[in-house]
Amino acid sequence: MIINILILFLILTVVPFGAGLIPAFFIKRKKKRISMVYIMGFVELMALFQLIAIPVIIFKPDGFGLIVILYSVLSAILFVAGLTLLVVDIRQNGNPFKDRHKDGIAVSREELGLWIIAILLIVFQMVMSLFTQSFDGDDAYYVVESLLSVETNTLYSIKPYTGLTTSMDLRHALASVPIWIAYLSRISGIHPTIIAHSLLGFVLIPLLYMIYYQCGLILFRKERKKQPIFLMFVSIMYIFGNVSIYTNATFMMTRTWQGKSMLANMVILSITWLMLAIYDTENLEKEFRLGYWITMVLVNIVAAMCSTASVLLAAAFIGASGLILTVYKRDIQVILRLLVTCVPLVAYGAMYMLI
Amino acid sequence: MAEILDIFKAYNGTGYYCILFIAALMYLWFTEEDKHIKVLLVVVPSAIQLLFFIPYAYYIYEMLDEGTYYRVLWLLPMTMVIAYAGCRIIGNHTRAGVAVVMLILIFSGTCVYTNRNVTVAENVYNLPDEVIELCDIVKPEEGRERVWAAFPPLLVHYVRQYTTTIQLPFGRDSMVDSWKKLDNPLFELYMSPNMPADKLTQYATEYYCNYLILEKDAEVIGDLSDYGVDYMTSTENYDVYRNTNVPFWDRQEDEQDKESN
Repeated sequence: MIINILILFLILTVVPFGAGLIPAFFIKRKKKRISMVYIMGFVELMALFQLIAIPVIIFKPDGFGLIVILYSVLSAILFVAGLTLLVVDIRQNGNPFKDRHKDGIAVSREELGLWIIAILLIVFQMVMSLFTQSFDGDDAYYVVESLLSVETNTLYSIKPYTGLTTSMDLRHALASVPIWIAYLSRISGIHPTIIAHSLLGFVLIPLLYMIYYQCGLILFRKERKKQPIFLMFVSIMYIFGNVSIYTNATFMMTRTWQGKSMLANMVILSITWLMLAIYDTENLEKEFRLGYWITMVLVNIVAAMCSTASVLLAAAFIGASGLILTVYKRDIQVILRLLVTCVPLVAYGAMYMLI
Repeated sequence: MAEILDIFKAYNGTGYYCILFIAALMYLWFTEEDKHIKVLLVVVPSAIQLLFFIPYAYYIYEMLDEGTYYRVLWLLPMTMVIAYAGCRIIGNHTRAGVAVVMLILIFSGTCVYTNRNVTVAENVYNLPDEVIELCDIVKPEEGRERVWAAFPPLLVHYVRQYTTTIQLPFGRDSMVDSWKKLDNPLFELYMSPNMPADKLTQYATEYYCNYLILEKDAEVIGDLSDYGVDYMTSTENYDVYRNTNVPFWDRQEDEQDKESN
């Protein structure tokens, strides 16, 4: 079991980091962070999964094995390509993570203490995700769909609730998160229900806070001490955000593994982070923003992977933000560029309406 | 409009985080100097908040994805805005400021771990131990592909998360009132206060159930063994019966039968 868990975390940590070096190559060196590379890689690999999975789901309903092979090969290629870029970058310019922005001020004991509290709060949530269980009726669909793919090699052609054969339900089939969990299960040999309920929290919760950390870096560029405080407040609001069953915090803490939770938290937050980064006044050189734009397109593919409603929500969010930014900046290119990143959303939306 | 207000109220629960969010937006509206941060964290959320209350937006959204309009509120970066404003407000009074803001956030919210649906994990599957015990009793023997078993409605959510080799005569799709569902007399019987043994056997056999799992305190009128349903074993709260009227499914036999027909 330990080896299986190690394989799972290798796929979910090391491989995304390697793949993330590709979009991160197009980011200004002093802004590059290991956590940023990891987020970009995670998004990149999720998007790759959606791109591979959807044609197979539609045209080959017994093609789970094909998805496993294609995705494994392509993610390995991205991993190697990313590492190659890193080696080239190191040879030409030295360690890319060494140049990150430093203000020359040593970390005070108070700041260190704040960081320890912030990290402990995050670790607490990870540990609680392992030692608590939450009942959610939707798992009778999503988690069973993952298990069905692993046990029968089929994709959305068996009714999860009962086991009878069924025609494909495109509303769910275009969102491939359950199949992604099935992939993790096939490669690691761990039961998909264990991955979903017990292990994914160990990856998705830190991932969420890494995205908040990226936002904090932009919001508190000149007040470094505020960055851990920001994460502490965010943590508290996630732990105490169960004000109703509908909030994004409730979804994150009780349905971490479901696509809609990933949409409500990681995806929408990533869009906010990327817009903060792209329009950051300190980030004006266009060539250094390309990595963010690439990630924005990939995030929109991941949005479609999470749930069909995501297509509408992500597009509306980017559209509204783009429109207001256009008015503020008096630059029509803002909305035009942002709309280009929505092409995957339009494509998946059209697919959903037409098929 | 009333429907939208209901959704808004249901989403915000006690409403304290919503009040904090509006207060944070107002604070940042007047104090934030960085234009692009102000646009993305104040102006855009305010616009989305207003858009949420426009009935046309509601009708269009409902046409595309019925019953999930609350998800529009996910677009509001409530957590980030409140945390950001909190950090700005405390200024350099780090210790006292952090303590006060954290106390406000704690007392304004509801801890997720006190939610009645969140309990201590019984196993790594995060499924009830008793469901796993029942599944291990009825799951197909080695060499067999699948069995059909009728579980009490409260357990149907969990069974196939453990193994899909157990097929169910009714599942979650029978449980949700708002969903379109086919008539399922076996489910209706399970939901009724008492179950005539003859009817239970008849429907279980019609749905090819090899096994029946009944709550220990289920009221069965008559003796199931008279109809070929034999008691097998029990767990803490459930009795397991084998329906001898239904043979175990075998793929080879099934294919041979189809060929001979």
